[in-house]
Amino acid sequence: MRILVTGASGSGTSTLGRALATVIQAAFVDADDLFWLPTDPPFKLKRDGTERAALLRERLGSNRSLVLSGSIDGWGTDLEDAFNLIVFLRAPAEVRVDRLRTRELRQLGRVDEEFIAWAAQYDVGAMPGRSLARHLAWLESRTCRVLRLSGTDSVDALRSAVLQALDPRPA
Amino acid sequence: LLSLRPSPLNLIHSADEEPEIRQNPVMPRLLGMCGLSFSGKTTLAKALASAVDAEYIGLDDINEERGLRGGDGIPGEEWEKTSSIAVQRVGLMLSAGRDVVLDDTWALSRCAPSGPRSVAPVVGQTDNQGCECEF
Repeated sequence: MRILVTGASGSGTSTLGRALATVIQAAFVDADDLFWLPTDPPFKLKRDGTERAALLRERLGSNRSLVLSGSIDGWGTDLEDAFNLIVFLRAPAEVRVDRLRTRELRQLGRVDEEFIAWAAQYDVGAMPGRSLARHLAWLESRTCRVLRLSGTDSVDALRSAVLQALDPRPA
Repeated sequence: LLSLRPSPLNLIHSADEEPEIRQNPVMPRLLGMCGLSFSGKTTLAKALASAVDAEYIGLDDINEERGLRGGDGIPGEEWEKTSSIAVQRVGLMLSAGRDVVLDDTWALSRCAPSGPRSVAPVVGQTDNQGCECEF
């Protein structure tokens, strides 16, 4: 089983992705770990597009079940349509920015204001990269089922909603 | 003997476990699948049926015969009809002395009590033991 959990930065894709991977005993991959080269400090150098696609292809090939969190828009249609289910999370910008600031402080010890500004304008889409409009257009052209959930719900509630959607014989 | 140890969220693992030894070698076995969508039930069920020379009965196949598509969301009453067709076929095969792998679609709450356990008394060939579901 392959599940993609996607949405804006701070919408909770990694948190839900990890929780899902644990409960269905699947491998977990964060698209950020493929998108960025491992540098110190992190998130400074992007990995080559062909290389990141090859990495994801390899992970999909070597894991019968995999949960991927993040955005893979433009990575190649074979990868973008490699999932059985896509979960799309949305959360208000202020909630996401709060979460991202907390995460940055915890992980990096400082807040990258440039990143926060980029993440905050997701719903407007004034800057390149992830935006709501681009995500919605991308979801429209997917072949699998898309489950749209609120990223402000608790992880437990979100996990239950996804499992319910995977119940082959719904109540 | 119905000998199921379905564990919907650990389906892959169930393949590694030894199947329950049949207690009466004359009595045919019924193996039931249980698990989430895309967890590999059909793949494992077909492999099992082929490996132990059992009849494969799949609920998805019956839905397809009836012109129902899973992706469209099949109403509860149609599922009931599909289930009763499956149960009939299982009964026929077991009566004929054939082992059966039943590729049903129980998951989550439906695994018990209306899941595999409910088939046992219906087909009249089993002792209704051994179905344990973990979540």
